[in-house]
Amino acid sequence: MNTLFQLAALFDAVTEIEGRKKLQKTVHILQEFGVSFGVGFGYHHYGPFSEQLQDCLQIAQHDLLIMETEVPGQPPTFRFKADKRLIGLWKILGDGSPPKWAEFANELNRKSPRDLETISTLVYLEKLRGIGTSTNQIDEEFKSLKPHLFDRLEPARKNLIEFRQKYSPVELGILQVA
Amino acid sequence: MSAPPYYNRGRVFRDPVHGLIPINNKDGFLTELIDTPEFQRLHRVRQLGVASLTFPGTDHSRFCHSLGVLHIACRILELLRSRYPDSVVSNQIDSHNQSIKAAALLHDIGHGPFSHLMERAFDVGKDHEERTKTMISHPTGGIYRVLNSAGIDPKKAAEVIDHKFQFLFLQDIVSSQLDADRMDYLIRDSHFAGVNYGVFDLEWILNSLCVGSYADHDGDPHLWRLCLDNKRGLQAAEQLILARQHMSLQVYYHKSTRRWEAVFLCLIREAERLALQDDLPDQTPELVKTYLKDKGRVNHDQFLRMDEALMVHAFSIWRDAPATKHRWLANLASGFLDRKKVLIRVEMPEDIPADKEAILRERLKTELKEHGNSHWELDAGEFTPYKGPNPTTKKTDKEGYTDSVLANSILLSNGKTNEQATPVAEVSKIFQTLIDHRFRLRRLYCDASLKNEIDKIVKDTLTSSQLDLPLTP
Repeated sequence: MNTLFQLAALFDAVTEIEGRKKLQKTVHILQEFGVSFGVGFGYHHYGPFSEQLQDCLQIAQHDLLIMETEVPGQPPTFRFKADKRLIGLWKILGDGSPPKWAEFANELNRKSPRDLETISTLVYLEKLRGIGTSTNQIDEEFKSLKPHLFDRLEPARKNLIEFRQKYSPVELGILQVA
Repeated sequence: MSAPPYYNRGRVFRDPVHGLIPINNKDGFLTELIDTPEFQRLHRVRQLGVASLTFPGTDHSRFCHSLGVLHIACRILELLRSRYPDSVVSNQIDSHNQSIKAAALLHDIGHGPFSHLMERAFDVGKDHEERTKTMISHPTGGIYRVLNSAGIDPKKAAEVIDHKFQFLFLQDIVSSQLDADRMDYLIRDSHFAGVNYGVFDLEWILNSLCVGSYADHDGDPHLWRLCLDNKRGLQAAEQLILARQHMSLQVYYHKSTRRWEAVFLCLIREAERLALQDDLPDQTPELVKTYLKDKGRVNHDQFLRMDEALMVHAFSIWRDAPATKHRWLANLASGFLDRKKVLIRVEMPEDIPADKEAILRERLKTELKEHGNSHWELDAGEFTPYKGPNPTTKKTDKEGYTDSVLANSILLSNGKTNEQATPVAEVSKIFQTLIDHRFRLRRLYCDASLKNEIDKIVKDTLTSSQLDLPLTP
């Protein structure tokens, strides 16, 4: 329930998302910032990936709550859009307004899939290796996993610092100020 | 003076499923792990929760299942080693086999009493995996001590449980759709339930195992996967998945079992409510009170004492509680222990979609608030026999498809690690059908006194246009 409900909130915020990878990475980054989708992530070929999220997406697609449509082009792209029933779920069960993290979700959604993959992988490695791990160690590990994205690592790190300053748990509505 | 070799043969367990399960002395650490309190506790945690109220034979424990998983994992390691002599595969097996064996044996030590059922009671997801990792890494625990003294890094064993082990084909042995866990539980549960649905050709599957790869990885062994031989493994894989589907429908999601699970869940919720108010019957063991208050998040030593014997002891105290404030608790405990019908089933379609289910749940919570959540259970049973990527996705989302394949697909390979393996659903009609198929078994159980009220909520929810429902604050 929690995952479907949060997906409803996400689609209420961003309207549409292009590609499954982008959706996976967006949810991963949001969750690492404290927006719980109730799913676990493991590391896969294209970075952090959640089987539970994929399962929930399949359920939503099976029930026609989320639709995937082809956008013609070379190559074609594919968009996920939520049916009004899914958005309705958020409207009914939420407080009626967009989630507090809508701006953050939109900022992520404006990034390319590769930039999101870089940020998501960086967040994943930082968490996996823990506090005290040097930047060099993370860089080395990132390079061995994703040499083709290494030139995007520094910009991704800057993005991440900005996000952490801009989207605190209070800002995202996760922590309430007394 | 050391014992003569003849007497130095390790330990052998008799097992109704596998015959003899030998543990060789060279793997003496496994015997020591078995002798820890953490592992011995599994004698008192049943594999199938309350299923024995429907299938009386299913009183088998997580202890015997864990030994079975170890046995199959050891056989897979040996088969692969002999199939790939003097190779990177056998070198990796030699380097990591102890971590894999330890993970296979210990994969379930974090289960609470009544196994998965307790996770549903506290709504904590796959909590037993988290607990298992913590127990393996607990510096003063028995597991940590044994692994350390055998020169095995506990972190490595925990990584296998956590799906983060560096070599996927080794992790697959313990955690995948082709893992030793599934192979053991299907046959074992089938045996003890007295049904034949879970039987599949274990020997032929083992005989068909090989190593292959998927996706471009320049021969990187980290991304090799445990595969089935493409010439002989397909039918065996189909049989395994069908066995899982049939066991799910006939045993795991059996309507009577799920009703007893509903009674159990209501009982735990009622007890939790009372525990939070310090209102449980006085004789309730302190540890049970703490366990309920903290939603199962007790410390290591407390967890070792949390087993089904203690819970059933608490249930028998609750059954006899005379106070008015304990009436519902006593009813539920009596229903559970004496197998008396305390909840009735509400008629509704089993296949209601996910959004309707979410709304129905919220309405029940809101509109039955005064009764709390221990008078009804909306069982959102849902499973798919095979969790795999749909081949049609490959055209629309190549990267997403690749990640899905690497996450969970069963692969067919020619056994050559430098040639690409094929996801089984790309060649099997049965798998293609099963991927798309979801079994939905949503069932609602309630206290008979609320039936009319709940009937009305169900009818309203299922017949109303979603956006008209009276829930918006």
